[in-house]
Amino acid sequence: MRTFVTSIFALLAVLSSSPALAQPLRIGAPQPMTGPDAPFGDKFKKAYGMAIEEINAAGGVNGRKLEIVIEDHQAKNALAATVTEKLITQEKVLVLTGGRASGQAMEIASISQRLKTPYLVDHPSADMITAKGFEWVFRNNPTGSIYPAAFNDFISTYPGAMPKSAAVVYDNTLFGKTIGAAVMKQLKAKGVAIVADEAYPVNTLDFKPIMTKVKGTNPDYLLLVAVSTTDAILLTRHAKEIGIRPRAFVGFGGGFGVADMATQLGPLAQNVFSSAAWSGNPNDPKVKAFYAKFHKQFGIWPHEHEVEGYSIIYIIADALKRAKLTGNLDADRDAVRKALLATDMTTVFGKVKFGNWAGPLGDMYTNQNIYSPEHSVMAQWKGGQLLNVWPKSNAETGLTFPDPLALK
Amino acid sequence: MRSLAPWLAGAVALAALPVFAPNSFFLHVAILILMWTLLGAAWNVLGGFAGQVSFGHAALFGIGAYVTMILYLKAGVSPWWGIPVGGLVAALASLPIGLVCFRLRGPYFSLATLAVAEIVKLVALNWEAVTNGPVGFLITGLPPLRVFGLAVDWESKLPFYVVAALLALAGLASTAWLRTSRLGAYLVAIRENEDAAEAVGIDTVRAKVMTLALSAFLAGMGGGFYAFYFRYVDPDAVLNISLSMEMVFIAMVGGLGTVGGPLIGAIFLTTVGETVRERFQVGHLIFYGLFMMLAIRYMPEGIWGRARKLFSSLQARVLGHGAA
Repeated sequence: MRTFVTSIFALLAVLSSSPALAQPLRIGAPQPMTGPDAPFGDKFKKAYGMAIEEINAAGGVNGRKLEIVIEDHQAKNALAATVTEKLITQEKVLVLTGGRASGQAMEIASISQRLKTPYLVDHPSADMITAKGFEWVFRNNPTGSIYPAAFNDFISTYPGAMPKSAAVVYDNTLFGKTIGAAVMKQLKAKGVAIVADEAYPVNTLDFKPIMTKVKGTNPDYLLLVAVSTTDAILLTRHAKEIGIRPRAFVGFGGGFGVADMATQLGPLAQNVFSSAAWSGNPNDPKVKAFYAKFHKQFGIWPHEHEVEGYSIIYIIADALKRAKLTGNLDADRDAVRKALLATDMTTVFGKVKFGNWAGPLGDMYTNQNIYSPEHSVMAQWKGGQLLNVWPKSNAETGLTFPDPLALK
Repeated sequence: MRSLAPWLAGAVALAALPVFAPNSFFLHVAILILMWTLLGAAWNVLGGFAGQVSFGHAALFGIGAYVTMILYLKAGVSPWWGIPVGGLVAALASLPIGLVCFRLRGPYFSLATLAVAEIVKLVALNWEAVTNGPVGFLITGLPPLRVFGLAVDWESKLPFYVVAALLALAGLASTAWLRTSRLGAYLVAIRENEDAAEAVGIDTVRAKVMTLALSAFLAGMGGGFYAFYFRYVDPDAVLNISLSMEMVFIAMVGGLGTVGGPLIGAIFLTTVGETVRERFQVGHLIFYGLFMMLAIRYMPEGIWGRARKLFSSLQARVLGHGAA
């Protein structure tokens, strides 16, 4: 027994005395691995793992392997703060990513800023995360208020698409309110009358009272925001059953992009637009190849989360490659931050370069991807399938507008 | 004198801890334990002594957190003043809650508190002019402060540890005071038999409302400290039902109606939670739940209560031997 213990210690001594340069480069990622958001944590874990495997198989970063340390925050803010502290001070990671939801990401951002560790946001979309002047926080994905960019582009450029009036119905979450506010601000700027402005709590079971009210205003466009899938389905169902016939039904938020829309609504989903989350340009051969490879490895088709998680590792690897690492953790973290400032590359997510600029709601962003306004797409439900229709460079098929039901 | 000894020992241990803390993460966990001690004590005052099981303490916690945050960000009042003010506002807010809910007894009271907490959360989500709605508030920097001529370093853990330790001591001290006070005796009478308590002339609603106010004051200060330490407050974080539950667990596992119980409960649940989370990346909540079930099944009097019982039986045995 004693010799066994001694040999373990000897082994540890050998391992710890090996030169620092041979040690893996550590990336920390607080994610919800248990609790209500666990399925999302799992998506990111798969995506990070795949990217890291590829990079390490190709020789790593300047000869050093990448390693990801995922810590479970159970979708709780205080726990997100705890695990972030732990990743920075105990696990000694060089750079952080992940977060999944905006509340937890706020804690991670605030601590990264204080403990001077770069945090590269891959999915959380609250504008505030990159609107507080945090120079240690970077974001590749678009902010919530940028989500409707493709929709704005569509109504401004597609012949005859400019709404005469619009009814906006959104949930009272951070995401719902941000998008509702961004859409209404931009429509008002174009002189479009907002005839209904209705907020509802998540998981409402009956939208008929709201929809009856909306029908009375006879909107030209009906804009619906739903984080939850059941809300998206019931909003669409009740609006159509009440007999609202706008020229366009446009859904914003995750709820409108899932397959349940088609399976549960059947023909009622036909021609409903979904201002979908960006998950790369499906017409790009490299993106197609990634989709296929991911599907082959895990048996599922990647969506926004997987594309974001996979891409973020490549952005980090690129910065690590350019950073001059010395083995002094504080200096190395600053070197990574400086390298991120010079990032200019393309991933399966799209182009990325971090900069300071003003967002659609007037927030001043710091280190927000300057190409974010391009990372917005509009899709449409057609025969049970959700296909990209706008902008044209990302379109998988032609779009149907106005809704044939409105013409009857 | 004898009753002061454990307090002195505790204060010395608290003062010594940062000196021996191996790193800042250790202090972070210590701060969490102290915050939960305060919250457990807040719940224990009402649940342990008066036997009034509240599932809505997150509302009082949230009110304290929001008041501290709003006072600092909108009026420039430093958080160390905001924390007690947050406690006072929570105590004031608890008065109407108590007057309404205490007309109900047992499970009806518990359900009413649950409903109040949901209402407060909805108000915070929708009253955007005051609460910023779902966006919440973020503190990006704390005001400079000098103590005994030395500038406080807000990037270190020490100042937060000191505040958390003082608050936890305040929580435990109010529990100790309550235990020996007349109000405490009323509460125990109410807990054991409310009708009998009323029959002997105790104004039960008044006693319960006063206790709730004390409990709310402590919980509100806990919320204020959360805002001060975590620096980000939104309805999901500070008005979550899981906070209410955690307070119940800590008081129960530690020992209902005891002075030291909340401290023991906070130490156990925080460290057990941290350890199993580290060991079992997946499924750690199952172990946490299992621990809770075993603790409640086999130690309904809590860890503190069980330890005290063991200690006194040991004492009796030793003394018995001595006499024989």
